[in-house]
Amino acid sequence: MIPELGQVFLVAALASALLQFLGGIGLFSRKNENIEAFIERITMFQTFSLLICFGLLTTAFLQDDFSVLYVASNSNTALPFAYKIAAVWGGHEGSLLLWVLILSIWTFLLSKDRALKSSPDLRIQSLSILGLISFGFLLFILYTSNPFERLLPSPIQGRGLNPLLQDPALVIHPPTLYAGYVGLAVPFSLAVSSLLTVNNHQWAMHARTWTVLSWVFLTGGIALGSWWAYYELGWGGWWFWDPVENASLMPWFLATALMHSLIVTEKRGIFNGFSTLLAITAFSLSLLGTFLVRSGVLISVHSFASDPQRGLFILGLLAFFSGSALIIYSIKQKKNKQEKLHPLSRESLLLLNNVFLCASAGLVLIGTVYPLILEMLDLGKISVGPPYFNFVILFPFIPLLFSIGVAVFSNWSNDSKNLINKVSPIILIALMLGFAFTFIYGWDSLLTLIGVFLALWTILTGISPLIKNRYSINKSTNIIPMMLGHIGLGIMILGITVTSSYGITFDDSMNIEQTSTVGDYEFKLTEIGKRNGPNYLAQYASIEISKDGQYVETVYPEKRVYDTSSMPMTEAGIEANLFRDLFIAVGEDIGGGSWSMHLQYKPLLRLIWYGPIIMILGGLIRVFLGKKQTERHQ
Amino acid sequence: MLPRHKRFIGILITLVGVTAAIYLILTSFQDNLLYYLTPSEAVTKNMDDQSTFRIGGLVEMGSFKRADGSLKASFVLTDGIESIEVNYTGILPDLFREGQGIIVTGRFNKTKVFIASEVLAKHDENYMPPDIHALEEPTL
Repeated sequence: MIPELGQVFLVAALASALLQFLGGIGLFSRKNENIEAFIERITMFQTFSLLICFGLLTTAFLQDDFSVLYVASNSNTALPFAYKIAAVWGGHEGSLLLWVLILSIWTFLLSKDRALKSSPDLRIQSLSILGLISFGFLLFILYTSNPFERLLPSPIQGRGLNPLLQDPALVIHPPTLYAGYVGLAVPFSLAVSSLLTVNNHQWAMHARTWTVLSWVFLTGGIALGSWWAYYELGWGGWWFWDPVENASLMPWFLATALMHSLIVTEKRGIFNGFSTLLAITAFSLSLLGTFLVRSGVLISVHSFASDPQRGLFILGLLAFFSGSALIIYSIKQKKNKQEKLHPLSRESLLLLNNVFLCASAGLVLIGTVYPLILEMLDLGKISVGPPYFNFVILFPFIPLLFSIGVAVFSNWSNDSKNLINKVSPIILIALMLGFAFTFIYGWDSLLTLIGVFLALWTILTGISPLIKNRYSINKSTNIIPMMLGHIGLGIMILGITVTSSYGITFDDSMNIEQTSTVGDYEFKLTEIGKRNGPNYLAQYASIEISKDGQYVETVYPEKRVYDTSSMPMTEAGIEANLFRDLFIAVGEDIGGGSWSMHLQYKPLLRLIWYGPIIMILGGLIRVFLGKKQTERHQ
Repeated sequence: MLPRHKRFIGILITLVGVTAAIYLILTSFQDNLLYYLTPSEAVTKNMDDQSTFRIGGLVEMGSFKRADGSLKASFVLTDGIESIEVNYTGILPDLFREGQGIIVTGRFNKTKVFIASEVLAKHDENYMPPDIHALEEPTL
C-alpha cells in the first residue's frame, strides 16, 4: 500500500511542478497578485507531496518492505536503524528523490523570501523556472528511476547497503552536497528570470544570500566527502581528483566566483552580464555533476550500477536548461554600460580573481571530460591522473591567492593609492614567517615555500581589517564573513601544502612485536585478533605508537567483512592532533606471521578540514546578517 | 591612444594569454595522460619500456604468487586472449583476488614483465573494467 501511495504523491508533485511553471508564465491569470497567490500555494503543495513521498520511502525502509525493489537492493533486516534511514538516499533512485525534495524546499524558501516580494515579476518568473526544473527531474524519476517500483515476488532478505556507505559522515555527505548543488538553481532561476522580465541588476541583491547559502552547503559537502574518503576508503588520501569529486569542485569554483561577482553587481551595478553567465554556468555544472555521477559514464569509486538511458535523459535536461538559458542570455542581455574600470580598483581585482576561478573550473573540466569525449569518439581510452590536476591547478591558483590579498586592501571605484605601501609590510611578514616555517619543517622546494607564503599571506590579509581597524567592524555586513572566508581558505592551503610536501607514506611488512619507523614515530605491532561487530566480522591489529621512546597512543585498525558482502573494508587506525595525523591501515596476512601495513605521517592534515569549517562559519554569518540587512531595506 | 588601438592591444593580450594557456594544458596533458589498454592491446601495440600506461583485466586463477612475509607479489592479468605477467611491491587493495577485475598502472620492463606502481580494484564487487564486460557473462 505504501509504495502505491508514494507513486500517487510523486505524480501529484509532478503535476504541481508543471502547474507552478504554467501558472508562472501566466496561463491561468494575468494579474500578478493572483499568480503569486497561486504559485505560493502550489509550491507549498509540491514540497508537501515530496516530503510525504520521502517519508513513505523511509517507512518502507524501516519496515524492511522488500517488495519494493529499491529497498530490497539497498537494505536488509540486519542493517542498523540509522543506516536504514541513510539507505534511503544510498542508491540512485532515492538520491534523486532527495534531489527533487531539496529543490522543492529551496523553492519553498524562496517563495517565502520577504525581500523578493517587492519585485513580483522577478519573483514569479524565478519560481516558475524552478517549477520547470523540478518538473524535468520528477519526469526523470517517474520515467527511469522510480524508487517505489515493486519487486514481485518479494525476496525474504534485501541485498543490504554498500558497506562503504555505512558511516556517519556518509549519512550527511550526500544531503549536504545535494543541498549545495541544487541551491545553485536559485541564483540560476533569478538570473534567467531577470533576463526575461526587468532585465536589470536588481536580481543580484536577491541572489546573494541564496548563493552564499548554497556555497556553504557545497563547501560542507565537499569537505565531508574528503574527510570520509580519508578515513574510510582505506589509504589515507584526502583528495583523489576522482571525476565525481571534480564534479563537485567545479560548481564550487563558480559559486565562489558568483558570490564575489554579485557583490560588485549589487554595489556598483556593473558586471551584470558576467554575474548572469556565472549563475547560469554554475548551475549547469551542477547538472553536469549530477549527470556524471548518475549516468555511470565514469570509472570511479562512486560509479555503482549504471544505465545508459538515465544518462541520456539527464544529458537532455542539462542541454535543455543550460542551452535555453544561454539563448535567452544572448538575446536579452543588454550591453554593459561602458564604465571605466581602474585596474587596481576592488572591482577589477575581483573580476581578475573570478577569471582565475573560472580558469580553474575550466582546467578541471577539461581533465574530467576529455577522456569521456575521447572514448565516445572511439579514439582510445585514456585517463587523466592526479599529476595533471596537481600541476595545472597551480597556474590559476598562485596568482589567485596573491591577488586575493591585494584585493582586501583595494578601494571601490578608484585605483587604490599607496597599495604597495599597504601590502608590502604584510608581504614581508608572510615571507619571513614562510622562511621560518620551511626552516622548522626543513627545506623542501621553492613551491612549498610559495605555498606556505601564499597561505600565510591569505590568512594575514584576512585578519588585517581587524588589526588596522580600517573599517569599523559593524559598518559592513561583509567584513566578518570576508575575513573568516579568507582566513579559512589560507588555513586550508597551509594544510594542503604542508601535508603534500612533508607527509610520509610507507608500506611495510610487520611481525608481532616488530617496530616500524615513520618520521619521528615508531609503530609497534602488539597483537592481531578477531572481533564481532553488529553486521560484520573484523580482523584487528593493535599498534602501539611512540615517539622518541615516549608512549603516545595505541590504535586498532581493522579489516571488516560484512555479512551481506564478500568485500572487505578497511577501517584505519588514526591518531590525530592539530599538528599531525598518524594513519595506519591493516593490509593482509602475507604469510610467515607477517602482515602488510600501510603507515602514514601527515603533518597539519587537519587544517584541510578546519579551513572549510571556518569558511562555512563566515558564510553562515553572511547569510544571517544579509537577511537582516535586506529586510531592513524594505 | 585611440580606442581602436586599445582594443587591438586588448585582443592581442587575450590571444597571447589563451595561446599560452592552451600550450600549457597540451604539454601537461601529454606528460600526464595514461592510456588505458586491455592486455591484448598492450601486447599488440607493443608498448616499449619507457611509457607508463594502464591495463585493465582479470587476475588469472591460480596465478598469484608471493613469498612469505614479503610485499612483492606477482600475478597474471588476462582478458581471455592475451596474458601479461605483473609484478607489484606493496599492499594490494581489499578487493584484490584471483578472478577479480582490476586496473594496474605501470610500465613494461625489458623482459616484458609489467612493473606496476599502482593496483586498483574498484570499490564495488560488481565492478568490471570496461571492455571486460564481454568476458564476464560466459564465465558466470
